[in-house]
Parts: sequence; C-alpha cells; structure tokens
Amino acid sequence: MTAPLAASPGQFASTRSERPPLIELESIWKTYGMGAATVHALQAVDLRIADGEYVAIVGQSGSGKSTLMHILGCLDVATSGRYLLDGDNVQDLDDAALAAIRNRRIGFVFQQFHLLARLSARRNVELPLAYAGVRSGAERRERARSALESVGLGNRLDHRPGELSGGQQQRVAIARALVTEPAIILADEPTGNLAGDQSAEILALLDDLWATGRTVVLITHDPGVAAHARRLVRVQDGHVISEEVSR
Amino acid sequence: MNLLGSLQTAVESLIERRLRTALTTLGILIGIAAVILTVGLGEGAQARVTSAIDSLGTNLLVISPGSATTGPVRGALGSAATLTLADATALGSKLDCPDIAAVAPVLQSSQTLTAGPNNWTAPVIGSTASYLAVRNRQVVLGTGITSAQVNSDAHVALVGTEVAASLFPGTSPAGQITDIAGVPFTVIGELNPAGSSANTNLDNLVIIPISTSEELFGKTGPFANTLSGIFVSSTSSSTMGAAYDEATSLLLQLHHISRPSLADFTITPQTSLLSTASTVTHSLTILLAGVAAIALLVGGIGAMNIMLVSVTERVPEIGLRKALGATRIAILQQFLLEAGLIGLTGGVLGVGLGLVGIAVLPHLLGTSLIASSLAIVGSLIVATAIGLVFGVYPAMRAARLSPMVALHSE
Repeated sequence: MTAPLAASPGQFASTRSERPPLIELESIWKTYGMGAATVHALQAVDLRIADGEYVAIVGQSGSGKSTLMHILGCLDVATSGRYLLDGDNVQDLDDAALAAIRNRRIGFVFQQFHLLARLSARRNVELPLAYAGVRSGAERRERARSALESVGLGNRLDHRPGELSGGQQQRVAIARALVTEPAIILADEPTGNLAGDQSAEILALLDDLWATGRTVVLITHDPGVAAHARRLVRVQDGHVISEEVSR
Repeated sequence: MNLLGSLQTAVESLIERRLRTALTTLGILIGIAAVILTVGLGEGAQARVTSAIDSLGTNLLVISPGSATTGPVRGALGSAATLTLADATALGSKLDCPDIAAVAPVLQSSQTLTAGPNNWTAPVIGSTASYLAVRNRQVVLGTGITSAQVNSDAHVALVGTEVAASLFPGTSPAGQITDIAGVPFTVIGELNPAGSSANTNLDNLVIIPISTSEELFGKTGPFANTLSGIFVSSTSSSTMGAAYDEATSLLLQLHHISRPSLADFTITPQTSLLSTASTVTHSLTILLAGVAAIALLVGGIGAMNIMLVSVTERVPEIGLRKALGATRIAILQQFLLEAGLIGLTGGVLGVGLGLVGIAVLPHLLGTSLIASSLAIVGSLIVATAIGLVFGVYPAMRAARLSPMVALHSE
C-alpha cells in the first residue's frame, strides 16, 4: 500500500479544481428506444471534472447515474453533445480508439468485481496489459505483481477469485484498474457487494489512490460512500441537479 | 492483444469447457475420417482397376467378332462369327500394318480338365506363340508354346496358377499329363500369377496351340472355323492409334465392307477400357465423397451452434475484456481462433482415425484402401476452414457486443 501524503488531502482540493478540466461534458443527451417508448436517460448534462478531483456521482437507481458512468468510461457513446477527455473529442472516436482510452486512461472498478474465475489474481491483473500491447510476459507479470502488492495482495498472486474473500476480489479488481496507470479511476458501486469492514478497506484504498494524484470518480447511491469524495454530483431524472463541494 | 496471447486465451477457454470442446471436435472428426476413408476406398478401387487393365497386356487392342447387321437390326457384340485365322495372318503383315507388333488369334472354350483323381473346369484358349507377348504374360515354370508346336498340332498346354494348384496340388505341373475334353495333353509350363481383372480370373486358364484347339472344339457349332477374337499389340503406346486405323482398314477391306459404320467387328483399345473403368470408379468416389462432405457440413454446423452458445454464455466476459481495452478485432480474433482450433483438432484426429481405418479395414473387408496425401492435407485445410467459416458469425456477434450491455447482462 502506498504511503499517505504528508499533507491532508483536503488541503489540495481548492488548488486541484483550478487545473484544466480532465473531463468536460457539454449538453450530453442519451436517448434509448424510439417513438412512444423513447427514454431520455440523460438530458443536457454538463459536467466538468478537473485532473486530480475526487468526485461522487450519486442518485437513485434509474436516475441516469449509471448511464453517465458508461459515457464517462467510454463504454457507451452519447446520443448528442460533446465529451472532451483530456482535450480529445470522444464523440468522434472509432472502436479501436475508444478501446485504447478504456485501456490506458480509465481504470474500472465494478460492483460485481468482474474477475475471470479461471485465471489467477495475477493473470486477471495482466489482462489490460495484454490489450495494451505489452509483449513481454515477464514485464506483464512484474507489473501485475507490483499492482497487486500496492493493494496489499502480494501474497495472493496465484489465488483464483474463488479462493479470495469479496474484499480481496475487489482489491484484485482495483489492482487491475491501476496496472496500466490510468489518470482516472471509475468505480461503480465498488462496495455494493461487500460487508462493512471490507467496504471500509476498499474506500480507504480509493482515498489513497486519490491522495497519490489520481482522479477518482465514484458512482454510488450510498451517502456514506459518497462522503469520501470531495465533490458530490447529484443526478435525478436524467439531470444533474446539484453540485456541491462536500468538504 | 497479440496473436500468441489470443491463442493462449483460446486454448484456456477450450480446455475450461473440455466436454463441449470434445463433442464439437467429434463432429468434425467424424466428417474428416469419413472423407479420408471414402477417398481411400475410391483410390483403392481406382488402383485395382488400373492394375487389372494393365495386366491385360501392354498396348493391347482387342478385336471382337460380331455386330452382324441384318437389315435394320444390329446384333450384339459377338453375335456373328466374322473373324478368321486368315484375318489374323493378314494383320501380322508388316507391309500392311507397320505399327502392329504382334498378333495373337484366340479360339476359346470352357472345358473340363482331369489329372488323376482331380478335375477342374477352366477356359481353354487356343492361340499362337505370340499370345504371351501380346497379353503381357510370362512362363514362370517350364517353357512356352513354340511355332513348331502350333504347326504340328502338338498336344501341349500352359496352365494358370489356379489350374495348376487344382489339378496338381503340391507338385510342379511341368511335365505332367492332363486330359482336356478327354484328350491327353502334356503340361509344358505354368504362367505367372496375374490376379483378377474386372470380370476375368487371369489365373484360371489353359493355353494350347490354336491348331490343336481347332481340332478339339473349333470344328462344330455356329462359329465353326472362326475365331473368338484377335489380340493385337501396337509397337508402342504412341502408335496405338495408327495400329487401330491399320487394323480397321485392313479388316474392312478383307471383309469387303465399304462403310466403317457397317463393320462386322469391333476394336477396343485397352486405353478405352481403362478410361471407362476409371470413369465408373471416379463417379463412385465422388458420390462417396459427397456423402462424407455432408457429414462434414453437419459437423461444421454443430461447431457453429456450440460457438454461438459459447458467445452467449460469455457475454459478461466479452464485456469485461472490452472495458479493459479489447478492440472488436481482438475479440473477433479470440473467437475465430477457438473455432479454428476446434476445426484443426478435429481434422488432425479425423485424419488419424481415417488412417487407422485405412490400415485396419482391408483386413476386415478384403478391399484395398489407399491413403491419399492430397486427401489428408486437403482435409486438414478444409477442417480448419470449416471451423473458421462457421466461427465467423458467432465471433462477429461477440465482437459487436456493446461493452456496457455485455457487462450488465448478468
């Protein structure tokens, strides 16, 4: 585990938000279905997230927060609007370019962990490196080992997901999100499937990631989880209804 | 992801679902084994026919009597007795027929032979000294029939191996006496074993001088004083056509026939027998291979079915891989590799099974099968191609999945 910075993270909040936006959404619409069955999941959403921010996107289920997370993560493309990621217009990119963004600039942490059951922890963490074109197997193994060590699983390299607790599985998933050293960590209900103490472990890990300079975006419906972030973005009925700095 | 990484992923995923992989592979395996065996059967039949016809004699032309034309009615081959010893003598003239190497007139009848307590029925062929050369046969024991023996109506006989074994079991036939139609003959030699042609047992025959055979069975019946046929050999395989033309025009002239369409004889080159027989076995091979191809197609469709199930089952995995940076091409590559591997494995095992069949079946069925290297290489390529072709659609479905939809499909 990385050592916390000497200064309290809160002291950085004001200076960090003055940096140029890493994520910039302008009047993003996302529409599903056609005719009478049309659902506007997102309606003219504007959102800016600066490099190094710790943001929680909160909302009830069906509010549109998952859709927003998919668009932020380049897992889905907006129906209309503009999405600039570090200055690049994501709306214009093809499949291969979007795949490269997901691979190198965004690390995903899912509620369901989404680990491949037949692979060891280390092989799971190696997956993004393989898609990143790291050809040397030795390099992939070394980077995966180091990522697992950074989440405190250096002694579980060869365990399969089924042999790990839920909290440990989620830590493997976080190691996998970190291994390509992305700027953004996108965590979708990361503690939704975890018991209290394991949940606290994972949130502490995310706090550390932010403290060491990563942009962390949390998607959650749980106010307790959202409280870890430095800024809240509330989503309701497809609109961003409030943005508040929590600390 | 590079090809090696995709290959590792594909192999792991196939091993993880090993029962399903094995059953899918089995479908391809059976199809490929069927192809190897049917092609092997066909090639075996082809080789048997070719060697049988080769054993009839080199550069052989068979002149058969017949096709008597009475008014508008044309009779069957051999229905008229039209060939004589004079025809055969004329064909032997180097002046008229420079491309004919040797001529063997034949007078043939089935006769009963006895030697001590043994008796046997075999075709008895009256011919001349050139018979052996024309029919590509050798005397392996004793001597052949000489011109002097033909001229002197000698009671001498050459016997095929089957006749020798039946009449003189356990002893050499040379020098022994056998009665043919009640007349005693001295056996002077035994012919080389030649096996069976399509409908003739070449080892069950007796050869005697043609003059003697005329005395024995040529004087009576509707075909008295005529020949059963004339065998002619050309000087080389390239002069077969010239020899055919020379024989045709000479016989037409001798028989006073002006139009070739009214000819009272038929000349069949050995090559035409060969091509006819080849066509028959070739058609048979194609038919069998067609059945095998259908088996292979069914196996391929089975493979596609399984690949589709596999894609459906692994939707979350595909979504995850995409979220981690897999491109459409990478997913397509992974699933195509799985399908190709199933095809290739099925192909290799199918060829193995086919080769085992080719080794074992001749002992059980008494037919010969030939392992064709073309069929083996072709099968491996086709099996892999089938895996790939039937894998394309499932792989494309996998590649097109939206990562978001795939991730949330659980």
